[in-house]
Amino acid sequence: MRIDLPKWINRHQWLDRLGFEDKPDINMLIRLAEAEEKLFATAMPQGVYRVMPVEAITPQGHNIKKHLEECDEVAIMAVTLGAMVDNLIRTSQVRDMAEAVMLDAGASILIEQIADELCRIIDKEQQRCTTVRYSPGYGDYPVMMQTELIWLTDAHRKIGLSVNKNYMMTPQKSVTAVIGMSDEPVTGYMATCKDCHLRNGCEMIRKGQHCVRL
Amino acid sequence: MLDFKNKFYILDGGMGTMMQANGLEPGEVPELMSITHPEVIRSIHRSYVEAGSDIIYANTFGANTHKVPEDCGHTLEEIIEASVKTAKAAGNADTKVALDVGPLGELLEPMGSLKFEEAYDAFRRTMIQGEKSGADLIVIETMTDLYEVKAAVLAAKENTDLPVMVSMSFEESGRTFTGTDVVSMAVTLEGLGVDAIGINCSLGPAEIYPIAEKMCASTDLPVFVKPNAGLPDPRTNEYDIDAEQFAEMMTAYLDLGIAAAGGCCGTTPEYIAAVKKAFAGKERSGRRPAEKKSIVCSAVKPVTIDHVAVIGERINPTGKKRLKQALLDEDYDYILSQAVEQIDAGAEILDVNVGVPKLDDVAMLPKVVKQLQAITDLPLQIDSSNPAAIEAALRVYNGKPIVNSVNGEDKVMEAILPLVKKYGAAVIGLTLDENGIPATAEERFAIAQRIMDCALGYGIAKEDIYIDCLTLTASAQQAEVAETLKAVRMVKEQLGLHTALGVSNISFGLPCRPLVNRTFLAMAMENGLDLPIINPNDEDMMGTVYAFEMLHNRDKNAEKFIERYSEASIGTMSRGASVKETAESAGDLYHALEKGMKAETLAAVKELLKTEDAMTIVNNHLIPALDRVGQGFEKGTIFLPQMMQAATAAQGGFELIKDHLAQSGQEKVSKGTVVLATVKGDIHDIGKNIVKVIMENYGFDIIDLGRDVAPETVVETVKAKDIKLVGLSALMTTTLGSMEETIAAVKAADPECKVMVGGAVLTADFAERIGADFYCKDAMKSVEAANSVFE
Repeated sequence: MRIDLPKWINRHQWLDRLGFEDKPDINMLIRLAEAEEKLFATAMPQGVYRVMPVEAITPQGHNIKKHLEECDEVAIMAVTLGAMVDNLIRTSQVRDMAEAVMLDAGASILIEQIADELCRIIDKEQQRCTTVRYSPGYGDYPVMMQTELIWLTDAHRKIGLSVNKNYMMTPQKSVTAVIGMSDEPVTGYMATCKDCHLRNGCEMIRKGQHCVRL
Repeated sequence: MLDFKNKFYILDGGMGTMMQANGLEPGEVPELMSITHPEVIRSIHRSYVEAGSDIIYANTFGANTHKVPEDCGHTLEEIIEASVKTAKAAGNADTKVALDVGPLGELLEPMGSLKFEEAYDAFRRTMIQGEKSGADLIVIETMTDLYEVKAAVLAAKENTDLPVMVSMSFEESGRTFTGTDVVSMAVTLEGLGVDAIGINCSLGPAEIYPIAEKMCASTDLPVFVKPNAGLPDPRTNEYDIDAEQFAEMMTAYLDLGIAAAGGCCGTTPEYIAAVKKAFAGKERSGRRPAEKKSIVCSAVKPVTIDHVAVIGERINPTGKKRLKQALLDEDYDYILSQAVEQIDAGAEILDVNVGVPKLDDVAMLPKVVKQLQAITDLPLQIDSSNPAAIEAALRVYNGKPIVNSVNGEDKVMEAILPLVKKYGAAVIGLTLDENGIPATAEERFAIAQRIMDCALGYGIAKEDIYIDCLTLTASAQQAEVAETLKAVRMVKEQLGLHTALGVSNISFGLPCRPLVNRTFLAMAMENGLDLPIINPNDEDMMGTVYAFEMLHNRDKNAEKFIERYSEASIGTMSRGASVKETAESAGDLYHALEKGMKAETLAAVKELLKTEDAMTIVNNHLIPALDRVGQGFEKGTIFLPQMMQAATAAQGGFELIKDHLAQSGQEKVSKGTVVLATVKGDIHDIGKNIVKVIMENYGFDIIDLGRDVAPETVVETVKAKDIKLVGLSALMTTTLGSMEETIAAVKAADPECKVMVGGAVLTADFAERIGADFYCKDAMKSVEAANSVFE
């Protein structure tokens, strides 16, 4: 299904990702607005989800098991900004590397916003209590599980999302995730920094932050 | 074999849905069921035949080397054999069985990492076995990438004698997921000689209708549709349109004159039976013939020659030292920058010529074509006289290109026109032959006619033949200028062909060449020139085209003209506000650089070149300015996008210096040559490209091997060019193994060669563990590493 674009790409996160923290200059904000316009003109956000019994997915790793502990069903979801955004970023690398950096970071934020939107759609359509979404590669839920989620949602056919032998998704700006569902309120369990295999050298830890949004 | 003229074909419905209902488990290879449960597959086929399907698709949708695992216990050939045989056994005597060919499941370059040639080889194996097993036709379906379709169609046509039908999946926007539009699909596949085209999957009958309507208007090929039964429920996976509704909606298609219809996801034999019943006794309209148009296209952009369309001539090394060198060095950044300039200037088609003595054009022309189509959606014109190079480029081109050129010589036409036909291109015919360029318009016209007749004889459509009546130099052959113009008019009016013309030759040897060029261009357009082959960066020429289109009332309401020139000051041809070239001191240079102001940086460097030596400017101005930006980055007062802006601005300055050095015959001084690559399996290369830009700024020569680079390629380059430093990048944890492997291979080949690594998931510890000499957390750190190696 086609997913609506948000009104804007989250500026705080975008600037953060580019390293600005909270001190952007006005020129940068203007350039981000231009980059946003290009991304919005190019993105064809698509999403798909399936509701299945919790047993449908392979519970690789402790984290995902813990995340789905209280749940009887899962919503398996996949979203993508589409191949044209990859084209845009690739082309901009020839024209203007600074813009490419902005587009690349902006598209990464945008796809998370699109994923947020699909989560809202799932909540609305299914009317069940849900956990936050959990993606392969996060905590000890292996990135290889992307292949399974893509298969279960038929995402290749439904939204044009494929995965190569090294578990890289194309189009690149895409997200797959699992949401736990239950009749009772559930919080799920997001991996902590100690579960994370990227903890060494993590910029966020160094700054005393973490990436979990609860 | 298929008789679309006289017969309407009912196709079958969904296969996957039926197989899941009959016990297909998640993760199982569906095609294996033809061997493990042939009775299930046979009964599905049988129920479609009984429902009225004239053509059934064998259970081979994913039967290719990329989707069927080697360790599944059966060869691909066995699976195809079983699938086709099972379908044949289920059919009646007159049921046709199609070898069903779906996507490989991996995106092709440049979007993914699968090479066009690999895709071709994969399809080839499937096609050969399909014919051997007795399939009556080939259906390539559910495709979203026109490039993958091309690989499949070539594999089918070059290795079998079966008819080929192709359907792609479109979104409501009228484009596939990879951006292909209906017109580009239609003209490309018509060119490649497929037997029917269509639309399947993704949408229901109502949403596909307008797309099918457009398809029918774009081609005279038979058109077929296989829509989904609406949308699936996320929980039950049941589709929301029932059989009766589906059949009712499908009857609307009869008015379009479609040639065949069936269903895709969610449809069952019940749906097909309902369609059969609904169609029975209904009159099927004849197809309205498509309007005859001259169209060339990339995969996502058709250009219709119904107006003056500029062909950019700049990617041609004749008389261009820098481009010649770039082609020899495979310096694609420079070549692509030439493309980008022309695109921005308003070219609609780009000519590509790689003719440099001793350069292997058969290898190089397709490489450049691939690079260009990765960054532009403009159609390309393949410019060569070597049939082998033309064919190599036509093969890998994604869309419908122009071939430039043939002439009236029989042996040239015999060598090139069959290629134009086979790959479905348009072609430019030059009005010359073994006796040279005739003096009179009548003689040139005669050659044009000969070329047209010969091309028609090869089955090339009249709309795809363009004639170039050849511009001669006015200073040498003044009287013949009129002959060229007259020939253009004759070809246009009497043969009804479109015309192309290189223009700038006209003024050779005369003063005030721009004036002569643009006057001649205006004269030629008035005589019927459609495709001027010019330098689009020359605003005099572009302005003449825009004014011409406006004065002829083709640019309605002068919209394009005003858009382009509304900000131009009176009496000048420049677009928009002109750049102030006022920056005068080196202080300005730093300011311009830091703010990433490219034009101002250029102006400052230009100014400095008047008084200082080129290398002094680099060492005393550009590098210190960059250093200050770099220090700001380290301190956290300047951020990545700003650093990249500064680097891009500096790049412009360095280009200017390089040109200056080249003109004065000096060699530029290199600080050392570094090989950069994103490791095998990894296709995220923006990080590597950032490093490249920064390192080039600091005077290092970069050999950029690109992304998804095999260890052997890195090793070969290290050996061949005696490389002292390699930079490797990897973005994913899954490709760190490749990085380790590449380091080991480099060290084994040359223990002296240093390796620096970087990438989001890397750490200093890990870098050390896998044997890297330097861990670079950002681009500035790679400059430091390189400085220490080349000191």
